[in-house]
Amino acid sequence: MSPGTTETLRTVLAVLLLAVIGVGLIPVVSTAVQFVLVALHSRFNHYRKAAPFFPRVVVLIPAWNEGAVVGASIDRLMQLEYPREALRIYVVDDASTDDTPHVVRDRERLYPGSVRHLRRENGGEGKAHTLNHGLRTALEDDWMQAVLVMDADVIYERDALRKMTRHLADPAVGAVTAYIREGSRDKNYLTRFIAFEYVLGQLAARRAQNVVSAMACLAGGAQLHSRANLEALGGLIDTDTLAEDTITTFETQLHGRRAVFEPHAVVLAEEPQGVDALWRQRLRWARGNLQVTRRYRWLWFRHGKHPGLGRATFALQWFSILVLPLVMVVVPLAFLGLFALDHPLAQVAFRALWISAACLYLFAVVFSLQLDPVVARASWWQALLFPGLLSVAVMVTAFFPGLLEERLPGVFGLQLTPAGHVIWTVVVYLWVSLAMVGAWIARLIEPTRVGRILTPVLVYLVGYGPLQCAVAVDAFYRELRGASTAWEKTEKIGRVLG
Amino acid sequence: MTTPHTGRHVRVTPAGTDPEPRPGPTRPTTAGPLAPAPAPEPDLDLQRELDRDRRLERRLPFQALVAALATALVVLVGRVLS
Repeated sequence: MSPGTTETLRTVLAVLLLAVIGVGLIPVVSTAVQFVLVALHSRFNHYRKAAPFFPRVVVLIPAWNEGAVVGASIDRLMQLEYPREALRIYVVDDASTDDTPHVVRDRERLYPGSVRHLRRENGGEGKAHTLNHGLRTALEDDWMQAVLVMDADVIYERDALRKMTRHLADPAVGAVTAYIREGSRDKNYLTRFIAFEYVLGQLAARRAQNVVSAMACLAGGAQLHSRANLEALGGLIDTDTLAEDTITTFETQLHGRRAVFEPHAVVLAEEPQGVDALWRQRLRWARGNLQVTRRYRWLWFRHGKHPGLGRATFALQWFSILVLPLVMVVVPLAFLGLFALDHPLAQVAFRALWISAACLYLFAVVFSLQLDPVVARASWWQALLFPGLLSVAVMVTAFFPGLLEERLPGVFGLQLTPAGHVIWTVVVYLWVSLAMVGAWIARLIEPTRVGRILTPVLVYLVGYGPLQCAVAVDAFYRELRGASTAWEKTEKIGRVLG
Repeated sequence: MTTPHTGRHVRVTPAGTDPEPRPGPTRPTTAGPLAPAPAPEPDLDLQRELDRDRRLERRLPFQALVAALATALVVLVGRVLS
């Protein structure tokens, strides 16, 4: 092969690798667009069409062995700043084997006419089936004008429901969701990460979705539907996937009604304190999202199919989260290839990508922490370390080449050998993929005695973001091999602040 | 009707007066008698609450500006120190 041909091949290969690396910019661009939309929520929101409005609401609480939490939830619902005569609570007891029936019947006596115990003797089919049992009962007569679907463990702030119902004053709105805030009394490192994740995923992302009139998901613990909307959906919710809340959200919008996020209606929820419990919960969510993606494959990027959900900005947000794990595997490999081919070019591409990601990360953290000062006070450290301490180190490396591998060791009279320099570069380029492996190891060692100490350290090092991506990889794998989709409940023990 | 918390008049549509006809059979309610309304609480101006939430949303561009300035400052300080 002539030197000219070799050079051409090298150029073509370098361009291809740069194109793959460019894919890494998609999540960066998507996040930037999202935060521009968040700022635009100041003008493009639903408040102009909202008004004080108190429809008669049936609160549906699906419950399977929720004796530890359901009583407090009912008590708090009865303290809502909402007309008592316009509120009824139906607890759908999915054949619980604990003291759930006793607790609910006790509340029935305490709040006569307001609380009702609906028992499914043959339960165990999952949350969607349980909810449908309650929906059928709620739709049996004309009393109900709206249904609030919630989880047994969540606690509504007193003004939350009335802040949600005010959007139903606009008949174009079919469903409203609230801000789920992590609300455990005994917070640990993981619940603090989750608290910040919910600020990003709800207070920021769902405001952006309000702006483009395309809601990705009504939170399972806070879904308010108008009766008209429920009836348009056939009075039942989907039972075929692990993402019944997302399917209901999409169907609401595809039937011509808006789904609105109310950021000032706050609902407190108990979240997992361990990596394994979190993994199992998020695996269910991630697999549900993959199932939703497949079901609505005719919708993505097709504005004509739906003006909101078919919008490119919405699809960009949806897919940038969905394919992020793939990006985290493919882009580092492309860096490695480019490093072998053209080291200086790899260095330029690496710096460009990581500097843009670092700037956006810093911007997102500062912006998001202002959205919820309560979470900001409790979780600012976890917000700063959301991508992981070592990813922050990689960002520093991108900003200041030579700082960590040359100047810092130089202070102690140390110097990297040429081989050490290559190893350092390879590890830095591959870091985001290695971080997912680290997250997987954190889950593996968690049950052991050493793991109880090392797992939090590992999560801080590899980051909460990569942990979520590792779960998503697991979800991809399980969906590809058609693993069972049995509903797995996340254990709740009543740790939410009362 | 009147909310027990505010004493203000609010919209509660009477049963069976929805503008949209509903399919399917209807049966009398089985949920039992209505519970008594709770004791009134301090007055809350619902419209004012709505306006306040709307005003809070107007702070978003300024919060974005603060975030952008903070990011620029960190980058600048970092460059200077390095």
